[in-house]
Amino acid sequence: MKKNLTILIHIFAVLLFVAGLGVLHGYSRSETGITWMSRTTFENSALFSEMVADDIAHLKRLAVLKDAFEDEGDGELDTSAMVVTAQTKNGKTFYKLSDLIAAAARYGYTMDENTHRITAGDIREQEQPYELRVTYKAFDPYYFDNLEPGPSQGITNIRDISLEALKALSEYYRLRAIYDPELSNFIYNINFESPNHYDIQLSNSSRTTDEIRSLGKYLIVTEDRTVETNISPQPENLLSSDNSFELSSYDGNPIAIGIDTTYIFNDRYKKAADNFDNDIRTVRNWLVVMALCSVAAVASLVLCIRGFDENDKKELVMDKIPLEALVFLFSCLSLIIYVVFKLTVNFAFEELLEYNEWEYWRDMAKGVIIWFLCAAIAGSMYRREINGGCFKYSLINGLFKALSNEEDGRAAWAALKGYASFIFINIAAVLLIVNCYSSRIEGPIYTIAMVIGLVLLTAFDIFIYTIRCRTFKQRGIIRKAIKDIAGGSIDCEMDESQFTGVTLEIARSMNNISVGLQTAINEQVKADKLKADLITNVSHDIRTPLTSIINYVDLMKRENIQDPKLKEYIEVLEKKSERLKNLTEDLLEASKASSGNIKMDMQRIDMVELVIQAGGELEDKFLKRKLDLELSVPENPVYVLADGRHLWRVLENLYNNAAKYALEGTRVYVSVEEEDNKAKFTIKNISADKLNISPEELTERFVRGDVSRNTEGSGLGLNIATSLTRLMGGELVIEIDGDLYKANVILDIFTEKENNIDEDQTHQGI
Amino acid sequence: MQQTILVCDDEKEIVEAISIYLETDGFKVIKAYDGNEALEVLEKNKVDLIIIDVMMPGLDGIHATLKIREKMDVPIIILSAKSEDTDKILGLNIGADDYITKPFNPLELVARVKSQLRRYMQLGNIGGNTSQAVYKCGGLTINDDNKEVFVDGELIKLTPIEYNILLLLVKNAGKVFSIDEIFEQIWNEEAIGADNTVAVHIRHIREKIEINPREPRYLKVVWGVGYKIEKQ
Repeated sequence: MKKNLTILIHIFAVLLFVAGLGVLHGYSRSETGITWMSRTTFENSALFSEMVADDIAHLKRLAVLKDAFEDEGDGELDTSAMVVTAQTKNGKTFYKLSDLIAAAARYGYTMDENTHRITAGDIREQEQPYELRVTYKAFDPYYFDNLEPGPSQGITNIRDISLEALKALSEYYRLRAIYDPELSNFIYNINFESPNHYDIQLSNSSRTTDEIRSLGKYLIVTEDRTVETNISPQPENLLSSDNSFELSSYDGNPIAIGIDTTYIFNDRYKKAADNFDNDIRTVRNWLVVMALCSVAAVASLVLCIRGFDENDKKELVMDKIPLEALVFLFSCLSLIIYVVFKLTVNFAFEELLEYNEWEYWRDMAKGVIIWFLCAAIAGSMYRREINGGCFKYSLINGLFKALSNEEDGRAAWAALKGYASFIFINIAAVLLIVNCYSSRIEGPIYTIAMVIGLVLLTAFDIFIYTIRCRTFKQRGIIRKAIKDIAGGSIDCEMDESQFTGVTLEIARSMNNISVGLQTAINEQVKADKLKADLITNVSHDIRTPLTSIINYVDLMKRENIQDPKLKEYIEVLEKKSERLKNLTEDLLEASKASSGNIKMDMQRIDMVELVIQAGGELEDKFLKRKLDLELSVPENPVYVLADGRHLWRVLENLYNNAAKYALEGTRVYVSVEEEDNKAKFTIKNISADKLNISPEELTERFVRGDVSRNTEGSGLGLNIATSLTRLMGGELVIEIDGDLYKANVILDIFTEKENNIDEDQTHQGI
Repeated sequence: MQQTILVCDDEKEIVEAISIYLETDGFKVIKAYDGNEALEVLEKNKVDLIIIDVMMPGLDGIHATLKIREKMDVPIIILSAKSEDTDKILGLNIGADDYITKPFNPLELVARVKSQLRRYMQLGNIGGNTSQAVYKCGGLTINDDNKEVFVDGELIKLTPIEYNILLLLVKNAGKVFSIDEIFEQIWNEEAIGADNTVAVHIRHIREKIEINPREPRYLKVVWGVGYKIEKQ
């Protein structure tokens, strides 16, 4: 609240100050600046001097008019005076004043008898004013002196020339009304020499030169044409002969002008003097107001900027914009405001009000806008200062920060060095060429220099361009290599000879990465192969002794042993050797399946047929445990692309698991479905034991639902099934929901496009 | 007449065990412990069947088989710890008649030995039968006149449906029949699907005619397609 009030005060003070400036501007128009304030009296002001000069000019004009309209300047209007000489179609014609007044009247222009103002009445006569060529105008005798002679010189018509004469007559009356009266503060005594060689005496007083000199302000021309005056600045126009008569050297009659500074008559001098005093008072008052305003403005501004609360360090949005950007933004803003202001208010002032001081106010508005925006920036800068430095948010600071960061700085410097030198050389060369071009007239040496400069510049730019091209090309190669590596291709060694500089460094590193990757992958492959080979060899080596064990256990069994203990032992041996046999076989298969070391013979397989076949093969195992196999398959074949033998192995493992681990006397559900271009085989059963294991763990090697209970399997069944399914491009998903165990085999539907297998082709079975 | 069998393996215990089984069944056994020894034995003795291991010091089983096949066509059963398909194919291609992987079931070994001998000995006996209704496929013979099935000369008892299925497959040896096709041919009815009757019958047939039903010689499962009798 306080702050808003302060802002309002500030705005008000600034506006009032500007208004005061406007007022001063108005008063200072007749003077130069406000330095006239130092002259305390009207008589010493330039205004006074100007008034005297105006009067002298008027008197000079009056002399001309007297010569034109009076008979030898005797003070009486002579309507028969020859005023205009003109060439008409009738030959040379002389126009008297009365002729012209009559002519003007014919075209509707008349002069009022008392006020001597010209009024334009109705034109009753439709007569076309005839043309004539004026050769002399008595009321403007020097008119032609200033014109270049030509065929159209002086061409006008009777209406215009008569109106011109009438206007001159009106001026004659008006000037006489001002200067004839003797009761005036302005006293004059002047003689002019008419071209007709008689003196025109202008005077409104019979006072002598000495008397005039005692009037306070005077201007006296002595006989030797020197000017004696106490008016400052001195009016210069009395002695000049611009389009007017010369001062005569009429002896005895002094040429003198005096102003009675006691102002005993209430005339224009008195009024001017009174106004002058009023003006000075007004200006002084305004100066006081402006001084107060400026103090108020500065004080409120400082308050606004500093804030009222020392601890108030709130930052506005504008305080976080980089300072340079803020200044630029505000400059643009002020420009926009000013243009909008100019367009709208221009119209109001110039078109509607016809106010001719508008230019001045527009400049003032510009100043005010800039002031307020500067004030806002100043405020922002203060807030920035107390919030950790004026330049905390600024482009310069950002640049310094960037440069002080090692990586960014180095990159920035590297970029700047190249770019700056490029720009510098270009600008310098262009300037040079332009310079040579503009001064080529001075000799062929410049032309040659220009051509050489042009060629050098072009060569330089092409050179830089080729460097850029090379860099881009190198970058392209590196990008492709990176893409290849990302895409899985590890063999992408680049030829280092085609790189330079930084790209060479990158390319070298890329090559190292590539080589490293290759080595790592090769080693991985080697290790995998070694592992698979090891497992294969070990299982082969186990088989031979195992054969003997199995055979001799069998032989012992045949030996008709009566001892029940020995019989039991032999049974254990038989069981364990059988298990060992299964284990080695499964281990070998698991190793081959997981390492992908199995040849897949992919064919079109009907899942429905396979499921029925599997059901037939394993039916007895389910019957043994009183499990009911519920089949749910579509009527039509569901073709998948798979290796029949391995898919059977997958299904066999899943069926065996169900037969082994399902709760006795329950149903086992088997289904084949087709959805989303996938074939899905599902087998679900209720587990006899608690399935306290995650589906992921189930597919790992050597894991069984309940390790303690069943020692029959190798624990590799699901692992083998998972690996084989994956090798066929499918997926084996195990789901466990309480005691419900569910295994899904998901394979892609066979499409003709995939594999054009002749249906009658003989399939390779075991 | 007592038949002589050469058993060759570098593992003495295995040779010993095999000898015991074979001798129990009335065969005369000659033992050898590497390829060269086996060849020496063959020089001196008349042998009716050879059981030979692959991995042996000196001359290995594969090379020994090749050498034996240069001179005689006596049945050879390869006995190996290598169970890969490629090993089996290699063994059978160089002239072995059967391939048994270690560890083996002794009874199966004896059965295979007997089977090979019967085929070898009785070769041409049944083939000499003039009846048109006899279908042969390797060691499998079907006499449709008497509705009798012989495997390596041994009479096999099948149920009428089993017999019909086997006959269909043997008549069209090499052709794959889907379950629906078999059903329609045998029962003369439209197949209604989702029934494993045919599959179960096939399993039963296999259990009867094959020495090892899991690795059938005659009635093969083409998984996901159907069943067929291998053309031999």
